[in-house]
Amino acid sequence: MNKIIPGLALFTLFTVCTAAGMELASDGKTQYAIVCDPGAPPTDQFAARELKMFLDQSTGADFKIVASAPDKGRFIFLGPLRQAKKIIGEKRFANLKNQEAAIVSADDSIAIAGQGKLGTIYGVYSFLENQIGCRWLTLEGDNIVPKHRTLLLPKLDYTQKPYFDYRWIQTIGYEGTRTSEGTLFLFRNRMNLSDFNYRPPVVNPEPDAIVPERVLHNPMCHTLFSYIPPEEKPHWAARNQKTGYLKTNPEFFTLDEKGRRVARQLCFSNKVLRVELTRVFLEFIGKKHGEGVFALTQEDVPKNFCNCIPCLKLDAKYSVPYGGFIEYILELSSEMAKKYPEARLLFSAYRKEQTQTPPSNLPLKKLPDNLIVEFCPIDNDFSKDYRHKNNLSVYNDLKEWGTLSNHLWAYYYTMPYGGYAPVSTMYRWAADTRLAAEAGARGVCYEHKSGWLGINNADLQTWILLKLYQNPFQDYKPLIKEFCDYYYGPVSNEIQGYVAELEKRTAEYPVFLPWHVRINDYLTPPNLVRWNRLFDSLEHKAGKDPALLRKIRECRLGLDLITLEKYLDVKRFDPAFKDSAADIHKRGMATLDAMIARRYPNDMWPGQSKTQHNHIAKTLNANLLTATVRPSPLPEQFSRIPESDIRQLFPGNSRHCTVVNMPDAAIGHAVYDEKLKPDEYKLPFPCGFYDNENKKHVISHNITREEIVPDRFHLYKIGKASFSRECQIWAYPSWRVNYSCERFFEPGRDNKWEVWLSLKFEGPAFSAKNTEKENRVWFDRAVFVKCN
Amino acid sequence: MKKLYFPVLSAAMLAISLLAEDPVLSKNFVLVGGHKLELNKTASLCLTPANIVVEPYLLSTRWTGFHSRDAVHKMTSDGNNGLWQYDSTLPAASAPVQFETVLSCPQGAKSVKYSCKWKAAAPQDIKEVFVYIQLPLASISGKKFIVNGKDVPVVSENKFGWFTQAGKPVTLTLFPGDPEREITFRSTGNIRMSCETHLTAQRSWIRLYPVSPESGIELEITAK
Repeated sequence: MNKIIPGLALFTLFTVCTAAGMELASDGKTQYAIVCDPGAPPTDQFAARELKMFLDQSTGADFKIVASAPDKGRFIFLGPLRQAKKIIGEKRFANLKNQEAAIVSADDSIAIAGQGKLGTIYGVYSFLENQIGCRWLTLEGDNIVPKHRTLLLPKLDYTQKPYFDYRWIQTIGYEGTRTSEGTLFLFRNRMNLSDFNYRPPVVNPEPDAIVPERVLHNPMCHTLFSYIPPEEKPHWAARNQKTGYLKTNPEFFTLDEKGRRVARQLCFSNKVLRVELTRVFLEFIGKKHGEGVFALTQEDVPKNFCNCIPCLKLDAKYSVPYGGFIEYILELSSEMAKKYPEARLLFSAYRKEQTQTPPSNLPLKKLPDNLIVEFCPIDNDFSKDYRHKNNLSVYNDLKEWGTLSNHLWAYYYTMPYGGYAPVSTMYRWAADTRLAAEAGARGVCYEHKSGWLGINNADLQTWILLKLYQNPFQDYKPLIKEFCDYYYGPVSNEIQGYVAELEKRTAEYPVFLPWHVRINDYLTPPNLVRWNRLFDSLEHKAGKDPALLRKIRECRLGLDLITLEKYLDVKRFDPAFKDSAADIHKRGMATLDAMIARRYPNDMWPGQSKTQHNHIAKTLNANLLTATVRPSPLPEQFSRIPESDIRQLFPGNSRHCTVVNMPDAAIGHAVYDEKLKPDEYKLPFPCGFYDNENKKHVISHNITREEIVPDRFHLYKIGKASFSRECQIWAYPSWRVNYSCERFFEPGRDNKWEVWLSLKFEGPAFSAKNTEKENRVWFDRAVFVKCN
Repeated sequence: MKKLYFPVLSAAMLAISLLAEDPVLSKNFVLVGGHKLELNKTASLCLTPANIVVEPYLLSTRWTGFHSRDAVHKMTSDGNNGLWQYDSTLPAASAPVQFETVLSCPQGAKSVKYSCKWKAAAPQDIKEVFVYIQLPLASISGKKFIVNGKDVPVVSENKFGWFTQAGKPVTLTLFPGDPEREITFRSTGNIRMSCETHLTAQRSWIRLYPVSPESGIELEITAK
């Protein structure tokens, strides 16, 4: 709490209003000019153009940019001009920190000047926000520029600096600079780590002026193998021409639990590896002129680094499972400081079982100044903030890193990665951003991947994140209103109500929410029906305003996806439900196409836009199939069971299985374990039901030879189970044929269900008669029957 | 002559203990020579990277391994002081049985202790218990181990009971003579031993049965 006051003070210090203000413009005319030295750096000159453009737009006047001016008069002095320093005060100006600006008026003049390459332009943006009311809301150029017939300003005397020194947001594809508007949006909202020019076809309208404080070089995460590639084929982000190290130097890699050298991580107790990695790493820094931030972070693979005894001794020495790695990081940072003093080394504190916990017994009390620790709380409960008991140990680790490092950055995952269903976690990341600031974080890098497409109010969240980067101690709720009032206009209140309900329900999630799980608890038919009615009424209100209709439909897309997935339940609950499954699918596809066309204009970056499109389109198509499928009838024994007591699940394409068309399958296709060789089939055949939420093998069933009805699909009863928030049916010893069943989970109801799997056993391993076909077990549906 | 025994024996013991490398304690494991000793999630003792597993197995209504899906394991640990303990509940005939597995190596200890004992069980539920040491054939095939000073060559074909021994304290040395891998298990009580190899599993097992099942097993583990 004690840090809140100074935090706020940085932003709105000493704003004083006097009755006699300055009139900047009136009735489309101004007597003011913007003074900017023609020899000023490009960013300061751009600041002058930005100031002119928004002042002109706001007042209708023509603010001239002039090269020089007398000491007194109606001028806005930009940058470290003599007059600006005089107004601000020489000493006060000299004491400003990097990126900090002073906005001060005296008599009829205003001075806006800051330190560092970005200080002055940040001062201009601050002035435009605070005094004019400008806002840059989205990557697509939704800008608020209020109109002022008369622009009257109070006496100004304040400094401003974004609270965090380094700010970055990861939208899809690791950057948001694919359009001119996108680049301007991020820069005006003070993002300062992206290389705004780094990969074509970026669009930077002012390449000399729109520059970062530092460049965070690619690859930014999981980088070990970029420098020491184990495989012979080139690494996707290769920073070393040599490949195939696993073959030539297996001792460079992890010794696993079975005593094999595998490409999991690197073996950092190996001195030769250290020398080679340092050589390659420094070579890459040299190619980047020795400037920027260079990440050396572990591969995204679980388990510890290495089990060789020298590595384990280092683990014991530093009381962490990455003793060799942290020792090497210190060694490398020392080498870098000697050779490239302007370069920074980034190390990720990532995964509880790897580098999340700080080491003990380090040879120094503070980590070196060229070493950045990026804290990545992937093992958190994703519905709770750091203060919750589920996350407290993670927060303690963050605080401990804060005492160990002066250069702690908070990485963060804003949303759980369980698909596109409606969810909102602003309450969580707003609190955690403040808590990270209190723990000593000086940088923020948030993974907000849904930000690019706009589903589930992602644009709203992106803007609020960028505002919190500047002041993590502010209340985020007024920002929601501000955004919605502009963006959604006449339906702002309803959208705010929808967001508030999602926030409340996400916060109420009763169990630990891991990063990969979708919340199902509130996605019930009554809520889906109610929310669909809400959006129907909003679309009606939008009337003939196509822009508003588009925004409403983007916000609705997550709801469309889930409504389609649960369409049969929705219809069961409300037979009068208006939309057909085909209607929802059509609306969803149209929204998706429009989103892609708008965010990737002129078919730019086709690979990425296609990936994004396909991912959502595939889900829409699969959900349509679930909603409309007419499977072959169930056998006679199920005929007396009411339809409401039966749930059916049909396999689709998955990570390990591709559907194969089969005319006799329930919906015309089936799957099998593609990796199991025909001669590896054995009996009994295992299958079951696993409750991931409670970590329980609810059903472990073996189908014996006696039970098998070969050469046709037959339903096998494998046991009874209750659905949970995360559960799956599985078949085959490998479990590669497995499908999630949480969509059937109904919170508060603990019904037991009989579980039946429809399987077809083919080949000589199962039937002496059938020797023509290869051994194979097909799966075409699961049937769940409510137990009474 | 007899008077000489004690000092000579003491000197020899001291020399051996000085030769042996002391265990290195970490928060989550102990290093003993070239082995990382760690209790895993199913209360089994894993020796990495030799890929050796030491696990209790018990017979109540049916044979139940600790990795059984019906077993529930709760760990309490004080890694900083070298103590890891699992309280396990396993299904049995009349009521679930409680079993405790402990790995301990206080700071400065010369050896690691691994013990498995009953905490609560109806007498009729304790039919038999043993600890097996599971060895990958790849690393032990063609080698020998030493039991109470006697060489035992490993049999690398499908065979039960290729080595057995009646109940007495056991000192078992694996990888004898290997400066990195040699490791010795000493039982504190009387133990029956039986060895077997399964080629399909590519593993050999050394079973250690306490003569009285209710007493459990305690092993002291040291490196060369």
